[in-house]
Parts: sequence; structure tokens; C-alpha cells
Amino acid sequence: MKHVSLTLAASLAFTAGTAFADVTVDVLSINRDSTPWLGLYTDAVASFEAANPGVKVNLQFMEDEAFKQKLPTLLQSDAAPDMFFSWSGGVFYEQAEQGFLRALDDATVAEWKQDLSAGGMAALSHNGKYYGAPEASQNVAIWYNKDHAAALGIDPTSIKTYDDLLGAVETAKAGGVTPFVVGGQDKWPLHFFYSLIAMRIMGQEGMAASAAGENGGFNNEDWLRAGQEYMRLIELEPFQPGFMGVKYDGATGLWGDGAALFHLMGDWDLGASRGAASNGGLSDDQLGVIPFPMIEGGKGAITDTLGGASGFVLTKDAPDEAIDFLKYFMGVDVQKAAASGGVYIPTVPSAGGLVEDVILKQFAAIGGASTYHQLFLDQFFGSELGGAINDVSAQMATGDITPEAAAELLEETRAFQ
Amino acid sequence: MVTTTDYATQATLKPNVFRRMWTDGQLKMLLIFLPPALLVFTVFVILPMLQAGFFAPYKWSGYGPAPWVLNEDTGREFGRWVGSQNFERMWGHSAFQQAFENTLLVIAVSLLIQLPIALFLALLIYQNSRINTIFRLVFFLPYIMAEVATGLIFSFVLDGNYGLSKWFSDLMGYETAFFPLAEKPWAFYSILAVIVWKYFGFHMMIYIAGLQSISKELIEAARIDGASAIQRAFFIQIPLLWPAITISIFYSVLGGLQVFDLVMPMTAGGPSNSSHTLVSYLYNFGFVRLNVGFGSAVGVFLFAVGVVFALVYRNTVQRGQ
Repeated sequence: MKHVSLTLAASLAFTAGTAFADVTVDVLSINRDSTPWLGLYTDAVASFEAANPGVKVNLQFMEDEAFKQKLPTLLQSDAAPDMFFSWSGGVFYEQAEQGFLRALDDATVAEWKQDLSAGGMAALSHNGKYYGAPEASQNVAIWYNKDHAAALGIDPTSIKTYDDLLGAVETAKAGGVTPFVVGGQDKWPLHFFYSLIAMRIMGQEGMAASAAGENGGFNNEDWLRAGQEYMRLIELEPFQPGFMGVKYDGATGLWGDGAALFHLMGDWDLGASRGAASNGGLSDDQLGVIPFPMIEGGKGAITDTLGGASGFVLTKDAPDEAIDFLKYFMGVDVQKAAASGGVYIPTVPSAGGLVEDVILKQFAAIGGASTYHQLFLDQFFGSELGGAINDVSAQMATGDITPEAAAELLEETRAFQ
Repeated sequence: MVTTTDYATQATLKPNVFRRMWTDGQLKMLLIFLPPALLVFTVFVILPMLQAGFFAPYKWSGYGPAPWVLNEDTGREFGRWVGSQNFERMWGHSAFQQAFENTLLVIAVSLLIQLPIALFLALLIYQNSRINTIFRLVFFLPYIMAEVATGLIFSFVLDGNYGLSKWFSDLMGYETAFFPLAEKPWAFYSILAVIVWKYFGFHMMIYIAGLQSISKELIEAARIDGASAIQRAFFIQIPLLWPAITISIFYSVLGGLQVFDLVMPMTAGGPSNSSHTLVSYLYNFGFVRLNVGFGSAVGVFLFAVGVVFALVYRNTVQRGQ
């Protein structure tokens, strides 16, 4: 009897397999084909496939820069994926405006909003339509190396103002320790400094006004001051020698090898620096995190955060099965697994408390207390203006452009958009 | 009367030509081999060139089939007409001016440093012998290597944290290592050095082939007349090599206009956009920043420079060859 039922089950499974296995959901992600991301993703795919016989999920990974550059052509071709990773922001708006994305219907949006992050959902919406689901919460803060701090007699947790930070930079220089490592060739690590300084100076309203072209757009006192404050840091020569010839990977490897006191970077750097370092990187006991300090007289707050609002969005020809998978993939169960496994800091509110990693917990706290979350400026303003912000951040760092010229150049680029 | 016979002969000429081509198989060859070549050339060269010309006056992100096509999902066109604005912005952009200057520098260095080195080495090792063959192989090896691989190798070599540059700095006892790819004039000079190193072998091979075709009797006669090696080189070999040299100049200039693969892995155009060439500038500001209209304008400029050079060069220096 047992034998018969097994045969029956096997033949049923076989027919089910041939009858329904014609739906494949193609998922294109940035380079998460290493632990712990890959494990989380493949587990999610396996359990989704087990629960939905007949649907096959095909995961593909591409290195970040290649991903950005290939996507525009890929989306227009027959090989377009059904869903793909998105940093949201200007590039995402362009894709949505040009009709390359599939909007979720109102019922789905209402259902998803109940357990996914409302703020994250909003970041992946444009003109009132919702296109995807949010994944990790990302925030940028100043990491510090506790060994160096102790040797130099600096208490980074007491750094509350920008002047305090500059003081710590000077102390580090005097003590023969590189204050900051940065991957200047990639430019975007430098734009974190300029962005955070600008945010502290002008606050949420000022940033929104610049985006809308009000109050001179970028050519106003606030942006000028942001450039000047940035230059105060640059003039102290805070970066490692040859910082303009190093990409992020190289810089974070140096950081993991203990080459500097500070590193201004996002939470993802924990895994990245350990992967890129020569000896496994800094341990949890050696690392600390502080928010970027406040600038005197600024309209922002120290609790304003800069970071990502990323997730996955659907392309216009995505099948309904892709929506189901997206919900599962970015859903509560997977995000809880991500949180407890230390893979990423979840956006799903009910999973936030599950973060166990000592370092990620500090980032989760910074994100949780955020009074205004600003998307990375190079994403927020779209590829052209965002690219120009990266450019001037690098050009000011090498002394090739003055804060005045930087502000003018940004406004000129904005006006042309 | 005369004119009528002329017409008559002309009328019979055409079929005759075709008949002759048909009988000796030339026409068949043409029919078999020309269409594929023409098709490939049209699809991959002519059409993209024309397209770039049509895209250049638009502000267009690259989404959609063309900037002037109506997007049914939005009810607007994919792009926006901006006229000559892309060209004006290009001319006024300091990074473009730098990229143009850099491209001219590549050409100058190719002509004034690379080709003389190639010629000198070719004169040394053009004669067939076992040791010369080994030298030829060694000098030619850099040319065989893929550009991107070469760029990556040199980005490691010139890295002051881990590379040969660190080793050299330590050896010389410098306190801080030298980071050529991170310093402003040096980043592009490093690229120039790699270009010379990578391509001199190619030009050397052109010269060796040319030198080997010069008749041995001429050299022999000069030697008997008492001409020194330098005199033989300057009065016999180089003048006779002139057709090969003009070709190598042609390749150098057109190759110089196209430098891209070495720049991206070595400096990606940095620091501060100081080491872009025209093509890497086009790629970064056109494609990476989703500004295909602007990129097309740069492409049109690049194409115009190439065509003008080719036409002028063909009709002056290479005239009659």
C-alpha cells in the first residue's frame, strides 16, 4: 500500500512538474552572490519554490557598476528580468516615468503596507503609484577603530559637533594615524562627507528646496557653506596617501587592516571590510559607530540620517507570480531571517528587534531614531546631477574646484535637467 | 556620325563587362561575398553613426527606442528637443576640454615617442636570426595582452599600498609611497607610458615587415660604398620604408582617438576627471549618466575628427600610394 502511494505521489509530482513549471521569475540583483547574502537569497527561493510548485525563480547577480550600466538596455530588451534591485531615487523615477515598471494594484499596496515598512514602500513609489517592496535599511555613520582611539586618547562618543570631529582629525594626524580612509576613485565615498555636511546645514526643507530649484537651487549660501565646511576638513589632509587612486573595495580593505581611525560608511561595510581585509578585518570589540556630528548654526539635526532606501521593483511584463515572490522575498519571514542572521538591517518593523549583531544593532538604533531620512544624494538627484555631486566632491577633495564654483556647477546641471 | 558610334560602343560595353565578369567568376564572387559584408557594415557602422547624429540634438535618457518616439504609457515623447545645447555644453565643459587635450597628447606621444622607438628597435632586429626572433616575440607580447587585463595589471603595479610602487618607494627609502594614479598630472602620464609600452611592438612589426622587403642588394651596395649603419638607415632604409611609416602613423592617430580600455581600469578618468580621453569621457558622461543625447553629440564630434583626419591624410601624405 505504502509502495503504491509513493508511486502515485511520484507520478503526481512528475505531472505537476511538467504541467506548471512553465512560469519562471527572473530576478536580477546587485552583487550579493557571497555569504551571508547568497545563503539568505537561495533559502528564500527554495522555500518559495517548495510552497509554489510550478514557479521557478531564477536569481542573477551583477556587480554594482555593471548593473547600473547594463540596466537601461536590458530593460528594453526581451531579456529584461521580471524584477530587479533598485536604489530608488532619480534613476527609479526615470524608469517609472518612462513606463518600464509594473505598478502594484491598490489592494496589494494596502495589504503590503500592513506588514512592510510604509516609508520604504513610499521610497519605491512615484506619482502615487507603487512599484516594489523595500528590503534593507541602510544608514551612513562614522565608524571608529577603538584601538586607535584609545592609543590617541580620543573618546569618539563625545564628538557632538563638526569642530569636535576636526579636532579628533588633528589629534590623529599629530599621533601619526590616518584620520579617515576613503575610496576616492569611486567618488561616491567622498560625496558622503559633502552630503552629510549639507544635510546638517540646510536640513530637510533646504534639501527639498534645492531639488525643486527654489532659493537659487544649489547656488545659495547653504550649499556654499557646505563646500566651505567640507574644505575645512580637506585642508587637514584627513585621508590616507593616494586616496584618489583607490576604489571603495581597496579603501575598506585598508580599514579592515586597521589603517585609520575613522571610516565614514554605511552599515554594509561590516561584511565588506572583513571580506576585503587581509586578516579577516576588525572584530566587533574593535569597532564603534557614531552619527555624523552637528554643524553649528545648522538647520538640520544630528538625528537626520543619510542612507539607502533600496528594494526590488517589478518590470512592466512581470507575471503575477513575480508579485507573489516579491511579497515573500521582501516579506516578514525572510526579513526576520536576515535580521537574526546578521545579513541586513530589516525595514519590516516587526523584524527590527531581532538584530543581534552588536554593530548592526547600533545602526538599527540610528535608523530607528531618524528624524529625516535622506536618500544618497547621487541616487536622489538622478544619474546626471547625482554624478555631478560626486564629481565636485572629488574635485574639492583634490583642490581643483572652489566651493563657489562647485555650487554654480551643480545649479547649472540641475537647471539643464 | 562619330557620336553615334561612340554611343553604340558605350551601349555594348556594359553587358560585355558583366559577361566577362560572369565568365571569369568575378560576378559570382561579388554576389556571394559583398552582401554579407555590406549588411554587417551597414547595421553595425553606418546605422549607429546616423543614429548618433539624430540623437545628438535631444535630451534623452536612453530609455525607449528613440527620443522622438511617443511613449504610449506616458503620452509624451521619450526625449526632449534641445537643439545645439548638447554641443554647447560639451564645448564649455572643462572635463571635455581636458579629455580633448589628453587625446591630442596621446597622439603626440604616439607619433613622437612610440613610433621612433618602434623604428629604432625594428632596425636593430629586422634581420632573421634566432635571437632576433626572441626579441621580436618579447616586444610584441604587450600588444597581444587584452587591454583591460593590461590596465588592471598596471593599476596594481602603480598602487602605493601594495604594488611595485610601494616596493620601489620602500627601496628608495621614501617616507610615503608614490601613488601615480592618484596624483593629478601623473595619472595620465602613467596611462601614456602604458600606451607606449603596449603598442610599440605592433608598429615595430609593421616596420620589420617593411624592412625585410627592401632588397638586400641595395644595402649591400651601400655598404660597399662605405656607408655606415646610421647612413644606411637614414638614406636608404627609412626613405624606402616611408609607405609603411605612413600607415603606422595613420593607425597611431586613429588608435589614439579611440583609447578607452586602458583608462577605465587604471584611473576611470580620475582623479577629478583629469585623465579622460574623448571616448572614456563619452562613456562616462553619456552612458553612465543616462544622457544618451549628450553622449551622441560627443560621438558625432569624435566621428567628425576621425573622418576629417582620414580624408586629409589620405589625400595629402598617402597620396599616390
